[in-house]
Amino acid sequence: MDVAKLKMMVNQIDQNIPFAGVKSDVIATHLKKFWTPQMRADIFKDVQASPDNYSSDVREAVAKLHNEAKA
Amino acid sequence: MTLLSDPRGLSPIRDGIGEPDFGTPKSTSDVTVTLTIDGSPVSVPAGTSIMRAAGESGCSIPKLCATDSLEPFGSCRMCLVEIDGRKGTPASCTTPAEEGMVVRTQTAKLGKLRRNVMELYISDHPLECLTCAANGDCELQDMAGVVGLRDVRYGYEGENHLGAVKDQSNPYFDFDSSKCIVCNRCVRACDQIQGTLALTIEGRGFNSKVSPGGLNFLSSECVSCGACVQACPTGTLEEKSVIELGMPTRTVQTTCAYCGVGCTFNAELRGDELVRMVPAKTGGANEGHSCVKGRFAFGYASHKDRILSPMIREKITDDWTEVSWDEAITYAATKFKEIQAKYGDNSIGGVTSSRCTNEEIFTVQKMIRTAFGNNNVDTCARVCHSPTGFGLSSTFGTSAGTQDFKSVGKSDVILLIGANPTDAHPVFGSRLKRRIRQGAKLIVVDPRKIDLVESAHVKADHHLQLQPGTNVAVINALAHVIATEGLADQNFIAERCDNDAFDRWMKFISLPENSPEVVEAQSGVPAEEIRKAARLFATSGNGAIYYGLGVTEHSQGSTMVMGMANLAMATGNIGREGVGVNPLRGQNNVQGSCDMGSFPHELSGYRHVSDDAVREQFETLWDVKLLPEPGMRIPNMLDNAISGEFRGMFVHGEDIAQSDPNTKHVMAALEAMDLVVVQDLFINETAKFAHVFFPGTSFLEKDGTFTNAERRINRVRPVMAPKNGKQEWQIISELATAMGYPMHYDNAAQIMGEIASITPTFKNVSFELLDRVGSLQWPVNDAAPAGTPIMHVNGFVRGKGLFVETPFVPTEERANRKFPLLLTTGRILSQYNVGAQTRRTANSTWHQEDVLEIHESDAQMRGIVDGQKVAISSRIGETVMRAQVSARVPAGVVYTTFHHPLSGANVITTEFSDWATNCPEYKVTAVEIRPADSSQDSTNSLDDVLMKA
Repeated sequence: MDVAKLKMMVNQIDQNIPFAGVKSDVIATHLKKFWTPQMRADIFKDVQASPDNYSSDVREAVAKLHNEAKA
Repeated sequence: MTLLSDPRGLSPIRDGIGEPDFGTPKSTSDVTVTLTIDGSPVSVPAGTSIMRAAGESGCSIPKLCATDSLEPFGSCRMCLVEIDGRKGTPASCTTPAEEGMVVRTQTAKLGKLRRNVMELYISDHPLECLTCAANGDCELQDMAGVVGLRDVRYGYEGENHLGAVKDQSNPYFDFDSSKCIVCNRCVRACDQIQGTLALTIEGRGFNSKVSPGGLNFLSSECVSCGACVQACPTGTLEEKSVIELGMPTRTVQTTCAYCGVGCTFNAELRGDELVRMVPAKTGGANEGHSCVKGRFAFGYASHKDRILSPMIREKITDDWTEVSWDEAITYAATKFKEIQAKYGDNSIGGVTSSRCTNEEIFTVQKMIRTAFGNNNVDTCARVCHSPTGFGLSSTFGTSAGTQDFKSVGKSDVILLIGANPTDAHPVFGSRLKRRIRQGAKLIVVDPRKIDLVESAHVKADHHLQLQPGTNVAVINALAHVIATEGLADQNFIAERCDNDAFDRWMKFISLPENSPEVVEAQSGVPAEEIRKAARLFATSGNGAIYYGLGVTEHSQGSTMVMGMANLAMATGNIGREGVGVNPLRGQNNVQGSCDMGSFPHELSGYRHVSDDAVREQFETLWDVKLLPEPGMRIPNMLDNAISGEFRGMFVHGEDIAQSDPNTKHVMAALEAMDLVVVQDLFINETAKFAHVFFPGTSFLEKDGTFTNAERRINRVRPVMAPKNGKQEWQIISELATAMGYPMHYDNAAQIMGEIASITPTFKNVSFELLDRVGSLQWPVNDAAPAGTPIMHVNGFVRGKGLFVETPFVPTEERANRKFPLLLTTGRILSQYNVGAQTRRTANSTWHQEDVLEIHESDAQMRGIVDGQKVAISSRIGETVMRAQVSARVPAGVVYTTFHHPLSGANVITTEFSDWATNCPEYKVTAVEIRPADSSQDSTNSLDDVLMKA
């Protein structure tokens, strides 16, 4: 999938998602709930390649999902 | 034709046609009074008219000006009665029944009076009953018989109205005032039922006549809802179809397939030919009312453009070849399997349609999850109300509106946001207007001056005319006032809501950044206006929120839905009549398509695919392993088509090439696929990219159910046999079977049985129960066997109501020097969505093309005059429309509809979407307008886009 679009989507989620508690957990839950495994894998790759394009919360969220998928 | 006196009504009804008419509306009083009518005791609720009391007891009183959908008027003098101890002969329609009253309805004196009155009517009425279109369906004719009129002593030669000219201007009905008895029923219907007040009585005394105000009906303010035609007791107002085809002989009750109101209609036929659609008084959503679409615009079902045979072609540049059903289904199944063999199971998917029945939708998503073996199913609700599901489930715990439509009758203040019900949901719009005219307050939040801001006898108390894209800022500002001025309902919050979440929300919403003064600069709405509106909403009693796509189709659509839920909870406006948060759904079965498991992450009843227990239930029932991960949404499928990973799509009753944003992108995606299968009535824009076409069925042929915006499950009954030879669920079942997953149902009732067996909110729903009770609002289960008109009465579905912080994040789509105007879109009364249905009816009389509304100052600045063709460009594309200089839009904002493929409104809409659901941001597109240069600019039809793609 178009990674630029995924980047836009995840950053939009980061900006908008309401949270109480740990924000990266809330983002991870949202991505797990609504994104396909392929989308999550693609965004992980892009976060790895260009971490500066993402907030620390997004970076943590996609890393958590990646680790969860590996486990 | 046999005329029968209905034992429960006053008007004779024809055999099997029509509904009983008790003359005056039902009283809702809890107090019972007992009176004696013609020697028999009768008990009725206090406030019931003598006429109705008589009708309910099986005693018929003649009438002409009375009908039970209208308040009593007392003008025709046919319903006179005698009452012991009272002088004279009062009209039974305007005289309430009282305890101990003794009434006589049939005496020699009354008979003489009635005959005398009837004699006067008939002396000025054409005596052409045998050739009149209303023959057999005329109350004047019936009453003349009932009162025993045998002669007219005055003769027929005197001054009369028999030479009056017919008004045949309306495409659907004629007005022959020579037959009019000036009973006022049409005028009162236009006032009391529709609320348009287009009709009036012109002149006085003998010169009194019904008038549409203007030159004729077509040029008047009449909205062609049909209420006047329905109310007319003679042949004065008559459907053209009845005049042409004759009186219907049988009735099938079914549900309209246009907007999310879901009106119940009696389809009246002669043999297999549909003569007219008459709104059913028993319809829970519409209670006897209709709009121009549901009442009259059904001709598309038999339009010559309909495709009735399956067709296939190798390439989209080839001509279509008609084939048998077996060949078409085998061809599609084989191609889908070939694609999966080559590119993987995940390379195909499908889209369900909110125009189809629950049973059809359920089978499509089942086919995709079982036969396709993935969760790549999505629905057109993605592009309209997906944020409603997200927002309301997050805050209240369920993905649906909270009220029934009737509830608005108990509202004291109504907050209408991003919705234009008098155009898009007209029957609900009429209810709303009725309530406002009774004194309820109205706050409109909309960039555009919709009719409800100010029209006949309706004026909003506040119009918060915000800049497109600033909904969240404004809802936060309203909540800020309520929170900081001590207007919140602390008892409700303490008892019903999550108090930790409320405390967090209070801190957030009280921040200065949410104050009206700060928001004024963002939204353009004066701070004082916001403060006044907030105070009005919080202090006026029952406060109800109604909203439409002007809320959801934004990058913060889901946030806005949660913001409205916050406001409702903060003011204690949840869980009883007159309050609530109510989405006005765009299409007839948006609610149902979401309920049925059309989203890629959810099975029916909004249960996530990752829930092992839920998935196991489905796996056991369907005997197949299901994937525990969400599939692709429509935009994901389209993006992946362009990148080559997604190769085949089943499009059920949708026209994504016209309805989805950024048309060029959608078309490129469709063109990139190896197989597009479209199931529809017509070769729509999407079908131009299809390799297989399965002809679908119109709503008149379907057997199943629709679920409307108030969660009301209504039966859709086949009025005629499927013109394509098959029900759509049969076609889907056969495709699934051909792909290797055996699927078979004997009938639609079986499918509903399966839905009920696996979906807790539908647990007790069955066709048998629906046929018995008419309709049911889910949840329908052991705890609520009669359904649930109002949600969250004793507690929220999620337990405690959840306040959610909703910071305003401006959309990235902003006006700039190159594109300084903001385009927003909507619907018009006579047309429906992409127009595939309404453009194929006489509704095009009122709207032959989409136009661009532009403020005078913006037009002048660009040298544009009213009616001129203009080019509209965004960073995505350009199209051409005719300009309409209008005071409805503020400077800086332009507006259009998207009913015509020729104008291609979505050629210019962008890829921005709601952060949570990807619902497209149709409501905000930065554009520039310039006069079109006829030598270079032409209307940018979708065909043109295809050529340029």
